[in-house]
Amino acid sequence: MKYSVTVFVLLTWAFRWSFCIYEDQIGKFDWRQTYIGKLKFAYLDTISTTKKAFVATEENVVAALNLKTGQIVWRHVLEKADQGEIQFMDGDGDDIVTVSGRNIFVVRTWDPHNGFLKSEWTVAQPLIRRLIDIKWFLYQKQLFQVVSVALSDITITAYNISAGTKVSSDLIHAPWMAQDSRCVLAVPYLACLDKVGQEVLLHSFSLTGAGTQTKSLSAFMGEVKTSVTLETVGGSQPVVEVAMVGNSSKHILLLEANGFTLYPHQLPSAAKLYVASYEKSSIVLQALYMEGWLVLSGSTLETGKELSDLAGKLKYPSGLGEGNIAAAVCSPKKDKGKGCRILLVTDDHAIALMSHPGKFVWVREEALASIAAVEILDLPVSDTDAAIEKEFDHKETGFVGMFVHRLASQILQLRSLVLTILGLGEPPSAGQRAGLVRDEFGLHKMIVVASSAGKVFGIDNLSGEIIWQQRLENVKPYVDQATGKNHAPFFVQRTTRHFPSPAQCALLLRHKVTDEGVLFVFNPITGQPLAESDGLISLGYKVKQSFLLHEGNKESLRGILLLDNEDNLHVYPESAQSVAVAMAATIFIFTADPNSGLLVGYSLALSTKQNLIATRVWEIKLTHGSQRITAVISKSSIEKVHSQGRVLGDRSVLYKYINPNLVAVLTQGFDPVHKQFLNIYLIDVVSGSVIFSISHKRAREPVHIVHSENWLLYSYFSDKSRRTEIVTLELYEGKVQSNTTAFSSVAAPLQPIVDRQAYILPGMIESMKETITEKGITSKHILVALANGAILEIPWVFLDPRRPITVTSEMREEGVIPYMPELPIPSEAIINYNQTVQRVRGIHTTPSGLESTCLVFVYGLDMFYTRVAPSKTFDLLKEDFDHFLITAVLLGLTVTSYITKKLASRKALKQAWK
Amino acid sequence: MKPKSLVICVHIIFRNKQDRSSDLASPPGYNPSAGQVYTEVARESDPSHLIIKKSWELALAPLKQVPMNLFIMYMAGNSISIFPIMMVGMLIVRPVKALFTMQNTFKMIEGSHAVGQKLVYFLGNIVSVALALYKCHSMGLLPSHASDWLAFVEPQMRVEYSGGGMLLV
Repeated sequence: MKYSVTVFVLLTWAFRWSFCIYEDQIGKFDWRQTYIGKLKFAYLDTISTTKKAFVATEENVVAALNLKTGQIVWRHVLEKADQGEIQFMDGDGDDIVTVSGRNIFVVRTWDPHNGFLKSEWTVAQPLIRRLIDIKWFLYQKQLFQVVSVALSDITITAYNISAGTKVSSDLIHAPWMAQDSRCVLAVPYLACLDKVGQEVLLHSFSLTGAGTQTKSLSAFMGEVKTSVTLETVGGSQPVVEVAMVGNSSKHILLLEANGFTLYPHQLPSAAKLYVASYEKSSIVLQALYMEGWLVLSGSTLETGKELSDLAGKLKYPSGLGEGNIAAAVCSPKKDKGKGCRILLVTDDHAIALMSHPGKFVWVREEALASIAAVEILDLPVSDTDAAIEKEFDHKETGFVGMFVHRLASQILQLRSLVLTILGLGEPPSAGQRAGLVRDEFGLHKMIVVASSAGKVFGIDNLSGEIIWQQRLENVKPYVDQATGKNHAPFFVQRTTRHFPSPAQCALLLRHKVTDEGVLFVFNPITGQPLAESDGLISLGYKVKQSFLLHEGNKESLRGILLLDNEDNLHVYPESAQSVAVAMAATIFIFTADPNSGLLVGYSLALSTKQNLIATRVWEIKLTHGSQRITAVISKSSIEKVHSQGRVLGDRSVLYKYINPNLVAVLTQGFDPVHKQFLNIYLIDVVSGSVIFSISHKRAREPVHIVHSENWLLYSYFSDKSRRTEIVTLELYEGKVQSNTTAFSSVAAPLQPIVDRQAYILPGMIESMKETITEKGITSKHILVALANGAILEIPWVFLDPRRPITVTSEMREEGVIPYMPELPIPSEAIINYNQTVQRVRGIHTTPSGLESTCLVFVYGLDMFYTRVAPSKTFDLLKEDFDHFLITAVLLGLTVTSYITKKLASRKALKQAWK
Repeated sequence: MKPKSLVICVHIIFRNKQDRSSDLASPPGYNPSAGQVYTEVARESDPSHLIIKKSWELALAPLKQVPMNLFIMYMAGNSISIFPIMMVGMLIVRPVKALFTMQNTFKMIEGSHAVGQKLVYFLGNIVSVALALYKCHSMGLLPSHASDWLAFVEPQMRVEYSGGGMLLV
């Protein structure tokens, strides 16, 4: 019996998992883009044959970029979060050295050519030291750790970079270092600013040969009144810049063993500086932004003489923010003079290489490594289809008018056809030219992505190419208070289906300084702002929650309701007010406070014609003590459920409990008895009633929740068994539906029947999402992003809570497979085959025009796009379908039948004459 | 061909008459009256009785099929595969066809019992159809359960609309 069950399961497996792709389909439906994140450290290597830029980023990535193309040569993703935080990176030709981690520093050396790890060793963090006090530098093949303690001493430890052995350790008494003195490292010196009475002193301390030089700033800067800042100027020489706050210019100083040398000229304080070595001398490179232009200049450090062949001015791309020079290298040019290559890192996370003086060689949009919001939208119809749509616009013209319109549009079509054939046609619109039109199956879409760096991108889903980008000034995304993740509410106010009016989307962000809400309103296809000049609308209040109306106004524009922190309601745009008032009685908004654990429900029923009023109707306090709400998961608003019930073995129906207002709330806490525990509540946010709740002991993050149809699926790490477990819950109304036509949360439906089951997944989960299709007929699969970079597709059948432990014939009749706790990870079910996707932060699924197909966009450090067909492509002919053969056979048969008919009649005639 | 057989018939009749007229003693155990009685009965009921009998046969034919059908149904089993389906198809098609061509069949039924016979014939067919339907039902081919109409159940309309989430401030 057991044997036969296993065979049965295996067979189902083999049958189910046969949707992997063939070798020749690689890259046909999918693409992957790899990123590194915001640059933190950079080092240019120009000695080796293939020139590279070595970078370390805030996403804990160490990578080598090809200096010619900007492509990643190799990349290593270090540990997540604090554990892998890169404290230092530098190179010395043979090695790239990184120091990462928080409490224990891991020092790694990498081979610059292939990125192989050469050595790895650890240094424990000195006790009771702030991280800012620990500095690292690489000097003459040795790694130095500098730990400075105010008012007491400086410890300098030198390590052998390959072996990790301590070469030397010096403890130097430094009583001059004040508590609030700001120290910077300008290899091989430590420079500190110190305020003594009216005097501001600059100490420079040589780290290789001991000795402190102290000088008053007023000696060369004149009277120092306001606060002074001290920064290191990156590059090959120990140079620091000293600027007074509010002053328009700054000084730079070269630190030397016997004092300082002041650079002869004052520089504008906005200028970005870098010291590059050129042959025997050093050059100060200076970049200054001036109204869309980048002014570059270079001068020798020693004399301050301006170098004419390094002076230049170039048009700065509007999509890029202001940047800093991360690294630069100067070399003699082939023809004459000298040229520099400058690696820029902009404040919108982009990394760009300039060949100076001249042009941008490449730009990497690293903002895409920190995506906060994603939406995938349909493209507009083609011009010809639009003409047909236009025809139906004139509703009042009657049938004669309609007929005239039809004729006119068809004549236009004919004309354009003829012109296209002759090659004389007028150029199509920009979108048409770029091929950005809706295709037959709705597979071609626009991925609109908002990054935490304050940039919005439009990406073609088929090619992965960036179509447009918009940089938003002075805004930042919201931060999830519980998880610390960035997110930005995204509203699709009007889709492309309402032809003459363009699609409109809005993004809710907040102001960088005031935290007040800012709406960015734009056309998702072109990226053009649709309000004001830059599309940014300052709301002037802090937004507590938002709600997109489900019906549009006369222009089919769906309004956004915004609840401010004083519980007042606002509508954007104003014209949607009447729609909002008309629907007010059916609108309910809720908020969840992660810290206090309070859930509050608001009703709009008391609104008047002039005013929308949100009234508190219910409150639930879910937590106490150390417990916090860590996630609130509602269902997708575009989801459709086709089947209202489930057929049981005896052919009766178990009706699904499909409550669109049901929200899953996760709370986590710590308990001395049960250790880490988590609770899940299913709450109807209209009535505020708790439909179901469940608690797990010794369970901790990462917790991921998927909430859809009548089921909930969540995963957590079980501390007890040390494994990832997935729990599924299914809600059923029972064998009869209490109300067959409408679902109202107020008309108190019965408590649903809850089925539950738990499974074990042998892997760590980064993110989870369910597939979604147009009509909801296709079965659902769960997409699971694993920590190893794979994206696993698990059919719902395997996660079904109705999988029975004891197999009865009735259960077999129902089509559920027997319960087995372990979920397998077959390699055929990994939809990204060998295209590893690192640090997945989210998965976005969207329906295509085909019922069978669901479009999947995975984002995180990398981006991956593909499409999945959970029930296979039942509505599509196979790719290898032989149209030619079928046509040939059909034609052949028709022709033969005609010929035989002729022959037969002739024969019959001959027979009759006999 | 036809004239030949007629000659033979005539010849036989002639010979019978000759035999009867001979004065030969009857063989032991031969009772001439026995044959006479039979012929008399046969002759008596010949025209109408035979018709009625034949009509009854016709009328009862569907009912006689029932045990056979039951046996076939039993043997066919409840699994849905090509042969049981074909059998069930035959079971259902034959009586239905018979019911449709009932007018033609009734033309053959004459005699005093015609009404009853027609009724029996009709009922017989109905029984066959019922049996076939029962078979369909037990095979699960009839949409007799709620689950069979599930695909036509419309999704519930949403009365309230809700939104919100974690506090943004």
